[in-house]
Amino acid sequence: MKMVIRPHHIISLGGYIVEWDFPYRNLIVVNPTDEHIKIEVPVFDEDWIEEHRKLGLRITPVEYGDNYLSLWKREKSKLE
Amino acid sequence: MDKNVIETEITMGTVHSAAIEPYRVRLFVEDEIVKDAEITVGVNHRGVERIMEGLPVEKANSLTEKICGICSGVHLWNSVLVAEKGLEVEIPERASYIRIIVAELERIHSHLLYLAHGNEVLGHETFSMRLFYIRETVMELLRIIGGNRVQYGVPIIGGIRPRAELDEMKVQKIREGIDYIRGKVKEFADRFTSDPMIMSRITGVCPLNRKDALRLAVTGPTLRATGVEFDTRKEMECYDPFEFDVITQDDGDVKSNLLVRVFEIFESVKIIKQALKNLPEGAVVDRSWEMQDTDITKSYVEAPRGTLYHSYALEDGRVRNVVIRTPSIANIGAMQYALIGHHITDAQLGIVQCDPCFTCTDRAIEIIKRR
Amino acid sequence: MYSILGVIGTIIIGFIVSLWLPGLERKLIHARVQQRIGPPISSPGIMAPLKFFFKQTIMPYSPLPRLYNSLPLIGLLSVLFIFLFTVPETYQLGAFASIVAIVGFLKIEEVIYVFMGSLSKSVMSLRMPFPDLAKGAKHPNVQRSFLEDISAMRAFRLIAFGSFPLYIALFVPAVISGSISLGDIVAYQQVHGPILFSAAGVIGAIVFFIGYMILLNEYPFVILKAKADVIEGPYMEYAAKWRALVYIMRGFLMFTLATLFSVLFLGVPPSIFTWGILVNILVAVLFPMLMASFSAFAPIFTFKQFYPVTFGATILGVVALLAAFI
Repeated sequence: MKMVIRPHHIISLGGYIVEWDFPYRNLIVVNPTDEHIKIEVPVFDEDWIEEHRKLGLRITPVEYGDNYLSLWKREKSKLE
Repeated sequence: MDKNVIETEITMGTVHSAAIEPYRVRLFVEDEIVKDAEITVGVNHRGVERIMEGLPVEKANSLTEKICGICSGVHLWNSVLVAEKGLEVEIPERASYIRIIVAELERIHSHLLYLAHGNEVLGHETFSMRLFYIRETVMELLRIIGGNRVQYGVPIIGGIRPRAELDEMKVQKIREGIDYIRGKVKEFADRFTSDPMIMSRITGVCPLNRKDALRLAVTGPTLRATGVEFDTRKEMECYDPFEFDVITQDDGDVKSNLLVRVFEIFESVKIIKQALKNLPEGAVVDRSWEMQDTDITKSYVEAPRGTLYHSYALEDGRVRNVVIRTPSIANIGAMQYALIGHHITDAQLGIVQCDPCFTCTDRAIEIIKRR
Repeated sequence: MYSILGVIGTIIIGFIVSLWLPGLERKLIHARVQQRIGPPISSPGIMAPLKFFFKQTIMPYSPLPRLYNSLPLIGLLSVLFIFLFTVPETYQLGAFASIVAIVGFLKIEEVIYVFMGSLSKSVMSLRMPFPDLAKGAKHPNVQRSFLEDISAMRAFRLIAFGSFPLYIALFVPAVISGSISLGDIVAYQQVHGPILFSAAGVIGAIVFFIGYMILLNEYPFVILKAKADVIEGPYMEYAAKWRALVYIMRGFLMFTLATLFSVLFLGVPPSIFTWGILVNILVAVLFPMLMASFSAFAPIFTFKQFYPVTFGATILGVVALLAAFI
C-alpha cells in the first residue's frame, strides 16, 4: 500500500506504524523535493527509514521520551 | 514480481462505483488476470491527531468519534479508555456493560454494512438492499440509546453519558431488535450459502494465506478468516463476564471473510443478550476522578474491523503525542497480495473483502505549505 | 401508400411501447424484489432521456469524438432496421426480411460496443489527475490502458462467443419451417401453429431468452459494463442527447428482440392493422419483466461463470436444432 507525499509537504506517520516491534514512537517525514514521492505504508521495521531516505525524503524518528510537538515544529520551520 | 508477464496497467479510482471511499488502485494485468497491484491511500487526509494535539482531553475524545462514520463509538471508547487507564479511573460495572452493548450493536451494524457493500460489489443488488434494510433496526437501537444514529457518544471518562442509561423500555426494544436481526441474518445466511451462482463467485476468490496475514499484521475478522484464533475481546477485562466464541474460517478467501462476519453477528447478539440479562444496578458514571499528568498510555480494543490502537499522554489536562492506528491500515495493505492471480472483476471484491475503511485510514498529519 | 402508413404506424407504436419497458423492469420487478419504492414508471425510459435532450452537450474525451457520439445513432438505426424487417409489409423485400439479414444487423449492434470502448477515454482511470508514476511507484514502465479498453476487449470476446445462443435460437424456426425468410416462417406457423408449442420450439425459446439477456448486457451477463471494475464501460463518456440515445436504443432493442421472438416462435408479426400487435406488446412487456426477475437474484458473472453458461446454452441450442431436424 502506498501513500503520496506532495512536494514541500510534511507528514507525521504515527498511525501508519505497526508499533509491536518498532523502536520509535513516531516518524516525521518531509518531502523537501519538487516532485511527488510515494511511500510504502504501513511501516513494519527500522529498515524502512533508510530505504525511504534514499528516495530523497527527510525522516526524523521520534523516540518515546522526545517532545513530539517541538520536533515537528522544528521540521516544519526548516521546510518553510 | 517478473515484469515480463505484465501486459498492461489498469488504474481505478480515486472515484469508482465499487468503492464507497476514495482510493487509487493500479492493477498490473495480463489477459484480465491481476499479476501485481498497488493501492494508494491518503487521498482523504484530515490530520485528526494533529488537531487533537494540545486539546483538553474531553474535547479530544469527542473528536475521535469523528474519525469514522461506521465505528465511531469504538474510537471514542478506546480514546476514553486511554485516559481512564492513565488516570487510573475505575468505572461502575453498569457503565461497562452498557459500553459493551453499544460496541456490540456497532459491530452488528458494521458487519451488516460490510455484507451489504460486499453484495453490491458482487453485483447482487437485491441482497444489498435487503441487508441495508435489516441494518436500519440496529441504527434505530443506537439512536434510542445515544440519541443519534451515527455518533451516539456513549462513553465519557468515568462511565457513560447519563443520556445513554438503559431503562426498562430501552432494554425491551433492544431485546426485540436483536431477536429480529438474528432471525433475518440467519435467513440471509441460509439463502446466501445455498445460492450456487454466489458461491461460484466467492469461493476461492482472492484468498490471503495465514503466513502473509501474520507477516503483514492483519487483524480482526480478516485475520480470523485465515484461521488464526485471535480476538482482542478475549484480552479485555471488561469482556470477562461474557461467554462467546472466537469465529474462525480456514481459507482466507471472500467466502471465509463473509462467513466470519455473519457468525460474528450471532456472537454479538449472544453477548448483548447476556449483558441485558445480567445488567448490574447502580450508577452509570463516576465523576470523582482527578486530572493529573500521565505518561504515554496505550489501549487496544477490538473494533469491528480488528484491533484498534489509541495512545496519548496527558499534560495539564491536555493530550500530547497522539497516535491512533486503525485496523484497516494493515488489512488494506495485505489485500494487494490477495488479488494476485485473480480476475479484474474480482479485484474490487478482493479489496472489499477485508472491510476497508478509508475514513479510518486517512488520518495522516499533513501540512500543506504553499510555495 | 397504405403499406407505408402501416410500417410507419407500427414503428411509432413500437417506439412508444419501448419507452416504457425500462421503467417496467425497474419499478415493477427490481424495486418490488428489493423492497424499495423505485423510480416512477416513466422515469428510466421517458423522462430521463427527455431530460438529457435538454442538457448541455459536452464533447467527450475521445480521439474521435464525433464518431464516438454518432455510435448510438448507428446502433439505433441498426435496431430500427431489424424491427422494420419484422413488419409484414416489408416481407416482400426478400433477402432483407430474412434471418441472415437480422443476424447481420445484430452484429452491427454488437460491434459498436468495441468502437465505443476503444474510443472512450474517461476521467475514471488514466486521466484522473493523480501522481501514479511518482518516485517510489511500482512498475513505472508498463504500458497503461484506460478502463474502457477492457470493455472493448470484452465486447470483442462477446462477439466471438456471447451471441452464439441467440443466433442458434434464431435458426431453430428456420430449420423447422425450411426457410430463412421471415415471411415463410410466419406463413408456416399460420398453417401448422406456433413453433413455440413444439419440443424444439420450447428449447429454442429458452436459448433465445438467454441470448436476449446476454445481448442486452443485463445482470448476470453484465461483464461489458460491470460496476465492479469498468463502471459504465463503453457508455462512460456519453452525455446529454447522446446519452439519451443510448437509453432509447436499449429500450428499443428490448422491444425489437421481443418482436423477433413473437415473429419467429409465435408467428405473430407486428402490424397496426391486426390485433396481433397486442401479442407483440404482451411479449415485449413480459420479456423484460421475466429478465428482471432473473437478474434481481444474480450476481455479476466473470468469465469463469460466463463461459460455462454460454457453452451450456449453446449446447441446448444445438439440441433444439437437432430436435428441429427430427
